[in-house]
Amino acid sequence: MLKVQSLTFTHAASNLPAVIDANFELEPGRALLVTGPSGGGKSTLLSLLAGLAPGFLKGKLTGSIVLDGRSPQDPGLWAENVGLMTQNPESQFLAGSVLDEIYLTLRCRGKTGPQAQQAAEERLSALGISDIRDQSVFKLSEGQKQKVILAALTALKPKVLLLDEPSANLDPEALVSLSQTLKMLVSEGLSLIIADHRLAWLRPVCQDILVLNNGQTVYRGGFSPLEDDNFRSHLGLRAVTLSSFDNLPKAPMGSGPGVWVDNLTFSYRGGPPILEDLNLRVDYDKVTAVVGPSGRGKTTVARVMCGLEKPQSGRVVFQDAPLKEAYGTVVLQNTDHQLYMPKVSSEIDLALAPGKKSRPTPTPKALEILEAYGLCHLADRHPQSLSGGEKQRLAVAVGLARPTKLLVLDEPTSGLDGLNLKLMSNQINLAAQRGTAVMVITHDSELVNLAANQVFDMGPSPS
Amino acid sequence: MPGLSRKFRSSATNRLNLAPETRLLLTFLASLFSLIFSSGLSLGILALVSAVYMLLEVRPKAVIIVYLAFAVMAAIALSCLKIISLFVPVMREQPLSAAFLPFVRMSISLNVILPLALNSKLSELANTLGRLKFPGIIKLPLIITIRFIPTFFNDLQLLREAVAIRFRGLSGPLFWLRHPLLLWRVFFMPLVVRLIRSADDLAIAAELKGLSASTDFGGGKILLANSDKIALCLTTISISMAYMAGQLSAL
Repeated sequence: MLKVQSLTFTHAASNLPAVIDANFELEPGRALLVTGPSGGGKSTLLSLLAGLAPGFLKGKLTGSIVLDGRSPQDPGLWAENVGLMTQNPESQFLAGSVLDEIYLTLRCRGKTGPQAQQAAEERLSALGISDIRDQSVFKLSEGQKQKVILAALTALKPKVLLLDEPSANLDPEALVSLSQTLKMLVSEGLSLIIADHRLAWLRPVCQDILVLNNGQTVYRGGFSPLEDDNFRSHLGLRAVTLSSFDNLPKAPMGSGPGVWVDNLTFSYRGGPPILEDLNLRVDYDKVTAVVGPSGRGKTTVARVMCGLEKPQSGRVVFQDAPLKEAYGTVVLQNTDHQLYMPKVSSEIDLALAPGKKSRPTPTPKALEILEAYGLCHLADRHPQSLSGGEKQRLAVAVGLARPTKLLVLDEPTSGLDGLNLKLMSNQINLAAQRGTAVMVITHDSELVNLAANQVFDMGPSPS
Repeated sequence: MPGLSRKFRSSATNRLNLAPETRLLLTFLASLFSLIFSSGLSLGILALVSAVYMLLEVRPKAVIIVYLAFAVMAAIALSCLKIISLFVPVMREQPLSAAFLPFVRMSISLNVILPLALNSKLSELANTLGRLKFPGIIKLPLIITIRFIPTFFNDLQLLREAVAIRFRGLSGPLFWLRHPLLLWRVFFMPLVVRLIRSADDLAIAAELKGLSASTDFGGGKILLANSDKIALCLTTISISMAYMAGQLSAL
């Protein structure tokens, strides 16, 4: 049994504790959902449970974590029993290819070569990703990366499994499948802790709920209070039922007022075609949601439309746009590479006037934009010191600060709570109203319903 | 598990079909003799032969990127040396070749490490180091260091794309020539941040997997194919030639 007592943690660079006096017990065969507003301490709690503090996560740690009489003091033994999938699965890869990653994970835990290879192949098959077994981990979609890490973790059969935002990049079908896999593992005696904003898919999995707000436990108990709209809206939580977007019109094809792709075919070097004769139009003044399973080529379409990849055949047309404005901006999922400046406000100022000498104080326009994204209080912070959700909002604000004919947002709400989801969808709608063709690549049905005017379904996975 | 070792020999990138043991040995020998040799001619021969090996194994694009970074580093170092020599007269008396030799030595190491890092699967390396009975205290840092190189390439690629998107319509060479400080800010600063973070991530990934200095990857027999034997023979011949050339040039 996992016992957490009076657990408090303060990051080395902060005066305020990120987790305050957390207390709970988790028996084998139980699943606990940890939710709450962005920045509430969910990821920190999971890192503490994984034994990463104070070795990797620097700061002051008090209280205790005990699993079957053992504490995280012995990292080797702890890692054997507790598996963690972080918010950014790419950061967890040690090997360079998919099969190698799972194989290596199993070898680290003492499996012999043939045992490890057999177990790795079995897990890949169980998660439906055998077709990517030899691919480089750097070439995978975010959803595929998550599945690979999950395959590696579940192959180890740990006593406690910690999942941080596992739904962030998974399509609805993959979520149902994951939900079933987790239910099965829990029924076999696994203790499961999931930190997530998307609640609907977790209802059949988790029996216990822990709501964290500013590090404090504000609720501990069963799922039922989450059904209460007032309770959820008070804490900025997301919906507990899956919303359908079947009533939204389909995105048009062919020429028209917008950015359109005409019979696009694309494959990465030496690989099978990812896109074949694709036709799609992203209208100006509208938000077009692009949906489909992980690895289907959604991000690849965006990369081709924004000129990062050259198609083998077909073309991208910016209808009625002068040549010098005929380009798109894409806000990618990993925002770390897209933020350069020493201050949050300077990022916006750089986007507003690239090449102009940076100013010691932010411009009024920059502050106005930061205000709209709820980031004004962070204007003087270093962008790399922000939380994942804050970085995401800043990257979108930067993308929208400079007028562009096409704006592509790749999973812009993957780590956002209900409140920030609404804020983001408002800004996306405002951008479209200013005449930009906005394309949102997402698995988040709540975002599609809140922001999109039309939907383009990439269709089932070719495999 | 010799059979497994063969099965895990990657074919897509491993153009010479060398065993990881052979690559490790080549890396070790080339690095060792680049330290032992002091003659410019000997080092030049080693650099040339190792460059041919690298070009046969690594994609030209990766070679260009690495050598560009290497050239920038060398230019900065030589510029600093020049400035120091203005204040330290004894340094002015050193021949120019003496300043270049350390970079030739570094390029030899680079030429043999790149094929090892970019063409080897980590499990191959781990198995190989286990078979060669490397102590954990060397094995673990070596695995992480070698794994860091493809991560560096990936970070570089993502950063280049992010800059291309953000400064679309502006990012011609003229724009960057007019704004060198901005170039430094948007390219090198995030690269440094990313590299530090990637190093941290790799360490955490190793920790979460339970990979430690005491992790035993087992043993097994070392099997060398004909390609491995030919590569080792050629290496021996090259080192001998480099040695003899050094002796002759000293006469």
